[in-house]
Amino acid sequence: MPFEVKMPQLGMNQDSAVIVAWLKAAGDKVTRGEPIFEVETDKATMEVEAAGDGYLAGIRVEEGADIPVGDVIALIVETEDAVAEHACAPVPASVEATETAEVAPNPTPAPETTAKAEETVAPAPVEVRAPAPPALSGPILASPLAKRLAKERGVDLAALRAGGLPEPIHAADLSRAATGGQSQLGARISGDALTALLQRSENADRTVLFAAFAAGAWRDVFETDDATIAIRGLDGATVHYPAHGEAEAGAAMSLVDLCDTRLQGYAPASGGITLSVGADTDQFALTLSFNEASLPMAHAITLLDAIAARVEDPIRQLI
Amino acid sequence: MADAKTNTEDYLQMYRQMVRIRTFEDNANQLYLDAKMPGLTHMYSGEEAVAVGICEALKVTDKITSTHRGHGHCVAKGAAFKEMFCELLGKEEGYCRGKGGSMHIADQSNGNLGANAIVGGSMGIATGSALRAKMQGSDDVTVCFFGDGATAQGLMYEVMNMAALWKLPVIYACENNGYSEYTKTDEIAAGEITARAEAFGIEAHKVDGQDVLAVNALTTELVQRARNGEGPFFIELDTYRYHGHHVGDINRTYYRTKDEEAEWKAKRDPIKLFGDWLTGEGIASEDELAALGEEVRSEAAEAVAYALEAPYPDGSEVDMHVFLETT
Amino acid sequence: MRSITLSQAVNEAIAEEMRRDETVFLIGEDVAEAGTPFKVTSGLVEEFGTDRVIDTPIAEPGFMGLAVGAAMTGARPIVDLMFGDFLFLVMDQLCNQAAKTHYMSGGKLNVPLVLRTNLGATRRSAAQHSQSLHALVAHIPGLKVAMPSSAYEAKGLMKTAIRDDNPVVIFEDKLMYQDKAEVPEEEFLIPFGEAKVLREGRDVTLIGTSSMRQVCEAAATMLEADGVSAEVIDPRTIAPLDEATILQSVKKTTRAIVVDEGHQNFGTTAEIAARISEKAFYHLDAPVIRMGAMDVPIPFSPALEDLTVPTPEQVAENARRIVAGELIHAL
Repeated sequence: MPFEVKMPQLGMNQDSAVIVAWLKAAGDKVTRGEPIFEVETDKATMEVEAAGDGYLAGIRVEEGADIPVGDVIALIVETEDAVAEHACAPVPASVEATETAEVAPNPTPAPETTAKAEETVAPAPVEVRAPAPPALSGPILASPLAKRLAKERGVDLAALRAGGLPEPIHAADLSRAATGGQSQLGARISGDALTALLQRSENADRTVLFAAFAAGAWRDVFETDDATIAIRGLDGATVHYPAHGEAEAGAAMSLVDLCDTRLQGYAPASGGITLSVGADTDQFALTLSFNEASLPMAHAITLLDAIAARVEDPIRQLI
Repeated sequence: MADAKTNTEDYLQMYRQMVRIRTFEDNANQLYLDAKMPGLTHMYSGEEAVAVGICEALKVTDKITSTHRGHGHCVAKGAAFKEMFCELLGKEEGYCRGKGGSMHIADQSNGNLGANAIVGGSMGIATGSALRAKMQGSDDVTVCFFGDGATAQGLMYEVMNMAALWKLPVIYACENNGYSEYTKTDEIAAGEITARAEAFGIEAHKVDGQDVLAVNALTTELVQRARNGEGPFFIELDTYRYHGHHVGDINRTYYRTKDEEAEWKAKRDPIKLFGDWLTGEGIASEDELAALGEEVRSEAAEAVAYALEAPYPDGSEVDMHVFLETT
Repeated sequence: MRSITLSQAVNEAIAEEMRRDETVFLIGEDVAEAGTPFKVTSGLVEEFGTDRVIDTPIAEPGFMGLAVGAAMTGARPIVDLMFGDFLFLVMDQLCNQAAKTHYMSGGKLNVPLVLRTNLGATRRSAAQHSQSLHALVAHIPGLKVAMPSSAYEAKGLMKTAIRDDNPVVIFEDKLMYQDKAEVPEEEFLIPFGEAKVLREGRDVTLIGTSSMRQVCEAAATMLEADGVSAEVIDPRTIAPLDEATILQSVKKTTRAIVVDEGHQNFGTTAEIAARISEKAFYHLDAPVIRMGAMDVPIPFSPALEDLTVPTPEQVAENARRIVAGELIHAL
């Protein structure tokens, strides 16, 4: 049986090697251990020895060819007569192998020129860069949390920056944004249902109920679980609803309950989103003060309307 | 186990084991050259009498630590071809489920604590294994295989010092094949190799590593004495590797001549020498030895075919065995 | 509850486990009569004898290698490495041998050993006896790394380490050996991979390993006076790392500072900060701050050495800055 001569694997991570030269021709007698061809790997040029005795036959690759390791490149047959039987047309040195063609005794000129032309003549594509954008449209320096909240609330951070809000922008700035002046929306809602509810239940706290309405409306409108209301007392103290909620930094809006006074509405100069509630005989006066850059008007309308609906029909909210 | 091998069965077992190593390596070499085996591998061919002479003097529970040139030690200590070839090819059924490969085969069931890809890296492990045996009161002996190149590692001196201080049952077996990777040992080792051990008061011997009977007789005596608390010992075994440092190291005339290689193969081949002795003594006929060789070759061919077809480990095993999960 | 020193806690843990399991032994330089330079192992040799409390020559790679071999063949060695700085000497045996044996053998062999050593600067010991090198070993798959922050942790983590079937490296802070803490008389173990929340807070999470836990706790007290509420977490083991507890805290506070005594570059602080940034990114309202030892060899002079380790004042100052929303940004 003929013995297959394969392109040997001679090192780690070696996929192929180049036949530099055949040291024996087809029909030559070879003995085990005798060098039969020379290969070049990524590291060195080496002579490969015959692994058995016989006659070299069926040389399948020409010098200069880059051959994957493990491929059969020739045979060693037992008898001289068998040489002719196994004769076959060798694979010519491929284009990829031209780097080593110059050390091969018979380099094929055509592919070499082609390869060189490809290497040197083809111009490298030049990337044309777009002109640098104006500074105000560059990346906005905002915390990941602020960016996420802005996205959830439909807030345009670029507009906030354009309005003069200093960077970096943090979560708290979204509610405190004081640029471009405050807008106001007002509503007058029948107080019958809520007043009746408060009279029936001695434990109910009016201010906390307003906070609950505000938080519930916020959660619905913005489809989020984060809705903390900072309740600003008339004595200057601030408490949070829910009590174990986030810090002021994360409060969605402030609430001012003016029902125990003769006053009807409050809009803070410091910005942010503030809901104030005043009482007027049988009605409640709701005032939402906000900045349109951080809370677009459409959202503000939906929000205040949702709060108003809860005040009007508190049982629905409590259920 | 206590006596050097003197009967026919034992002689033939040693011969068979040497032939098994040579056959294993011939197949491994071919698998590698045919690009069927990934990585890097080092052939033990030529050094068979060392591994077999020593391991035939050991019990199953005696331990060995091996080297990057470790297939021979693994076979000699009792490993099976099928699991070894599977490991060499990175297959699931390999001794280490394909995670170790040629340079890390461990076969704990036969006392092989593993090959080691760090030159001299196992000297501490072998000495620690001997410390454990002594602490436990068992009579197990550990043999630490390493090459002449490893004598340049500082760890050897640290652990020989402790082994000598604490009289540990360890035998340091230095396989001196004359070359430290691609450099003549004479160029990297000053003085005598055995003098290194003697400096610590360790009894050191030199033996012809191509003579399996001499290796076995010496080792048997030293193992027995080590079991009796007379250890440690040091053996320098004069031997030769037929292949390059690794498969692929084929043009090596810059560090050793082809004439030298041819001379060792012709005049000092351990299998041929022992075969001639066996036939000369009338223990086995040439035909019987040839038949034995055929048997081993077909065993190997079968194991190779099996391993080539065997499945690779499932990808889910990649993060398995980083830690032993304690239950 | 009684209070004992960290040194006593380690000693108790080793003694209890040696009584419980006869395969446990202690090996290292001057661990027997001398009881180590820090006197942590004093008295053990009297109870367990020189067969199980083994003094070695000054040969760290050698006895580390012996321990690997003994562990592979059924023992549970505790290797005492006198200074954490000597890790560089044992890296081959620890990282190439002990850490990889179980994996390379496809699960056949395992190496149940404990390497106990130390970390920490400010003992005026200069550059080769002051390093905190835990990140080096935590980088290697197959090694577990515990960093006790008090006598209580030192005992519980040591006992768990000895019973673990894998190589474990324990780093004790050498400044803390005489620090006392409440440690129960009855037996207890601390599982690996479970961080401890030492103090709850709202505004910022301070994560401190080993003695940096105390630094974080002191910083939290300072911050409280300024109205900043800090949560303090001790990871206790960095490999495995209790990511869940850390992430849960940071998602709540939206800010984090990681404090560790290893060098800051490519260090433990970097790893923890990266995991927070990767897995809690959209909850962050400030950059995660890393505070490690300065990236200089630890200097000898007290005037210089003290500058290299994070202090409670620095931690508190960084916390104030990120809570105030200051720009921490390289433009």
